[in-house]
Amino acid sequence: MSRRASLWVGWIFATLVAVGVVLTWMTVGGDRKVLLAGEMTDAHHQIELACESCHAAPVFASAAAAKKALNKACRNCHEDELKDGDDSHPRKSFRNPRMAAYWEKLDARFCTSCHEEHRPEITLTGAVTVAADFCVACHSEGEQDVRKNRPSHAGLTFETCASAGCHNYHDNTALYADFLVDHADQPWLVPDPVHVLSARQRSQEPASEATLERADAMAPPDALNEQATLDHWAGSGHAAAGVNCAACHAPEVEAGAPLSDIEAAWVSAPPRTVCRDCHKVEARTFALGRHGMRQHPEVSGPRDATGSAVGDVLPEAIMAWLSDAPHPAHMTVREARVPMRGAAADQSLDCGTCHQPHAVDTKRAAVEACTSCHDDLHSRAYVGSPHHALWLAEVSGDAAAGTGVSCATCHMFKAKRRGRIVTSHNQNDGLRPNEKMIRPVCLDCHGLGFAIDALADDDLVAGNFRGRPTNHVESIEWAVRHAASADRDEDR
Amino acid sequence: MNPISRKLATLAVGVATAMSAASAAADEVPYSRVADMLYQVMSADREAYTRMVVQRLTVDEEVITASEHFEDDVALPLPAQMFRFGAELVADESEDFSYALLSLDPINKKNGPGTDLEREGLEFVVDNPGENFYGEEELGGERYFAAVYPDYAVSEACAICHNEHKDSPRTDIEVGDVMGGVVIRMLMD
Amino acid sequence: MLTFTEQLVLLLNDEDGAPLPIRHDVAACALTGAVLLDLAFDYRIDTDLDALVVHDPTPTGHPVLDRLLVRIADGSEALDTRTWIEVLSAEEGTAIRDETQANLVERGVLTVRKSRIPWVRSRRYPSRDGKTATEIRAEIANVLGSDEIPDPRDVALVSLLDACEILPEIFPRQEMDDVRPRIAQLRKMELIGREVAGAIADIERLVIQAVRARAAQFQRLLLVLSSVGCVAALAILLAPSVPVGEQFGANFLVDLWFDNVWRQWSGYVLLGLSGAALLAVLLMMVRPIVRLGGYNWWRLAHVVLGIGALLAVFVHTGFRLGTHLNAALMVCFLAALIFGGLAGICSNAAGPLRRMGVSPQMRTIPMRLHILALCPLPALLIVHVLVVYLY
Repeated sequence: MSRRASLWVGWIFATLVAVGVVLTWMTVGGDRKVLLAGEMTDAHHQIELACESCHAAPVFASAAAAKKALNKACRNCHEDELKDGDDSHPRKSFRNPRMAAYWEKLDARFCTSCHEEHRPEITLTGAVTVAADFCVACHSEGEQDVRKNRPSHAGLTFETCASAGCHNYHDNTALYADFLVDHADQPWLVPDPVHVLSARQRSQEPASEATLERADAMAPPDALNEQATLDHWAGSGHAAAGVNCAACHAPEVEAGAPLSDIEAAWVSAPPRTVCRDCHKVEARTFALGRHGMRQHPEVSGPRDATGSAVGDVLPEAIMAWLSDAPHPAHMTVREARVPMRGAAADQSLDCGTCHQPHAVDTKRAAVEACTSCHDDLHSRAYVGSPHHALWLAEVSGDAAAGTGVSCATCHMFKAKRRGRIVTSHNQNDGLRPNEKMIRPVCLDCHGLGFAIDALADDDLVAGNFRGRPTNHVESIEWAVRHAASADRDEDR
Repeated sequence: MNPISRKLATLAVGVATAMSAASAAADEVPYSRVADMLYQVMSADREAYTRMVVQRLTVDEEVITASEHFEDDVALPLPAQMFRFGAELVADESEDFSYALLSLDPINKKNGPGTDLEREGLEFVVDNPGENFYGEEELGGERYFAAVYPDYAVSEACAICHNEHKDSPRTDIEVGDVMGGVVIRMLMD
Repeated sequence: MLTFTEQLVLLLNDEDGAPLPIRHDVAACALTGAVLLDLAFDYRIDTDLDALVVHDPTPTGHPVLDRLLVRIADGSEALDTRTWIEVLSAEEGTAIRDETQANLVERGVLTVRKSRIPWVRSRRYPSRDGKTATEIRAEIANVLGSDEIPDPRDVALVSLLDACEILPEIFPRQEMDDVRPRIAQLRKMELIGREVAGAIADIERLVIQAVRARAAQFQRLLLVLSSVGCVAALAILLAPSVPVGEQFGANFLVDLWFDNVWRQWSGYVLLGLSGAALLAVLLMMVRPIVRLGGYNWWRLAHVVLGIGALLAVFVHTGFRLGTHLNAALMVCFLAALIFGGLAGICSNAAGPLRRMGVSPQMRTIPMRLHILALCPLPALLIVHVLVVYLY
């Protein structure tokens, strides 16, 4: 074969091999990082290699089927959140064919009409990938023209609908007109401000008869020699609730079993799953936020090439190379896209990161755990802020339970569940967008008007609410005026 | 499952059953007849909810109120809201048929006529008391059969609410007036 | 004995009598030069400072030569030699070839073979005895391959063939490299003792000028286009991405660069243009196809398609380089275009570059890099398309 011919043959062979390798990565297993078509949004970057979580359609599915599967995947993780927020534009409202004219404008049947992944350049806050004035698509003409329906909106343009603190596309539970009217004329701070659910949570201490003392600890002698650990445990909620060492270190052993059984089954560093056995709500909600989303059950795991068609044919060494690397189970501080403390870069996010395994101090978890990693303006400004001062007073016992405002007060919603107050560990819940925080948190202490203004003031948020809002969102006045004019019409 | 979702599920199952029975016989039964049967189920369920739940608990027993913001007010959903929840559940599950409660003078603008046929049908049932409207239209590239049934202000409560609501374009509704219509749509073969 | 014109006509066809891929205008120039050389060798014409002078209007017995001799002798067109070459090339080039071929067929040197494919009107002129053209080639090869002092007619013919760049078509590249010094030697030889030496030298010099002028036009065009392509590709690589508007609806740029359907269209147009540019090069290796227009037109097509692909890259990406594999694809593609442009500059500005001291080896580097950058492209493109459809 001439030199030229062999070059051609070599080139064709190399091309086929390269394509074959990548095709195998795509369909069987292997590192697919190189295939990422554009950086992922902040919301999903930590699960960027769990492609199947979203790209759930079978290989070579039709475009329509792929789109459907993709949108189904959005709902797998986000549907509950939308329901909780009483979604103002639910998908089901747009599936009726009478809405066909709107499908042309902005197809609200599909999440991906507004939220496309891998489009960093056009991605706005909230992973929105349509222009910020998107409301114009449907609310600028005909019966839906808000400028005609609402005299107060007559001269407005659409850039500010969702950015001025007035409306959200999905969650308007604290912003809808009747709610605004009902909460008009509230003072900026209510008398005796207390975050009710926090106060109630503090009061639900475990029954004292179950409390264990330091001497009650049952563990192998080596473990019992760790004095500091024992002290931590003895002062913890676990000891107060009667949870002995074996509950976590020998979870297989029945309660009341002799020490010999405990020693036999002892695990010195128990996995996080052990926490989940008791703290189900916390574990479930932890996986909904950015701290724990890698553990969300809908996030696809690594593919197992051995189960594929080529699994039986190829040698083990090649199969190992073709298999996905295990997906990291925890988010690390280094991977975060918000400002973080360099010293904390190697921290990975697990239950124990915020709750030291033995002290399980919720007060530490509510503030110090956050500020030991987060280094953005808002976090840095917390220390010394009015909210922080209230927190210090509560922690020191100078003020009543629920009067302090920790990081967790605002970012980890409390909810009543089967008679108990539980803490949602989805710390993102109130941040997309931040008006979601108003009802579960702000309104316990502040008036609605103040809360709306404060949350819409970016500088005030960055400074952790030192001072008063400089801008005023007029939505309450407008809603009140609209209701009043309706009353007048009625009187006439 | 809370009472509301159970109620919705019952409604959805009822309608779906009617639909499957209807579609099995669709070869012989004209679309208008299928629509009529669906309407009967919807109308009956709605009346049952109004009478057995809302009227009984709010007016007769006075144990709870009914409110547009039923979650915030811890109240019963209004009959029209219940009807819409059912419609949305069906729209979420099926593409074969859909329904909606619409009006020429809606409180919420999204419940105004959205297509030419809807407007024609709603005007027809207002202008021709006691008659239904039937027609065909094309939406999103598909052909649909549509039927419009008049929706009356059957009680004082209907008229009062609609007259007093701040977003209502009409303040002169009287009992017995046609307030709007139920639009039922079926995907044609 | 065959005239220069007849020899040249025979050499312009391959062994089967099919025309070689030589640009029509270059062939016309060469044929005009051959006619004038014939007339000069036969003492019919001479050149002076500002005119082509007819010495002796007596017919030569060759119809083509005689017809042109009459035209020159007519006197109604008093032109200098350079202008005669231009005029005759333009007006008589095809006629010289056709008439000479017809004459050779009449004399039994050539035969005519018409195409057997219906609607295709190509003709071939193979030698009747299968020898004549081969003998001429052998004779030239002999002149080139030996150190003997050649016949002045052979020297004139080789010089003419070399001037019109016909020799590389007759001899494979390898052999051409070997005989280049000999050609240079032949072209320096004085046609000592011949009265017509001055006229022949003039004619050859002017034919060379005419041919070069034609080549230069093309070269300038290719040089300009290559430079434009090179700079534009570099600009795409370095320019920031074109921002899309911040208004909802009727936002054409958002559709163009972020809508899947639009991007598929622009992507396939890009793929088509790139494929066509590659095809133009591959087809250059296929002789019968090159006959359709000569190398230069195919080179021009290649460069124009390359620039088209560059525009398509812009339409497809708006200067966005992408990430990961897409970035690799984009960089390879732009590198191929940049080096392609540089290669075009190197081959079309060979003279100036040589004078600037850029060695021939250096001038081949862009072409090698152009090919090198193209090597991974098919694999990257296939994967790019697969990713789009599989995810």
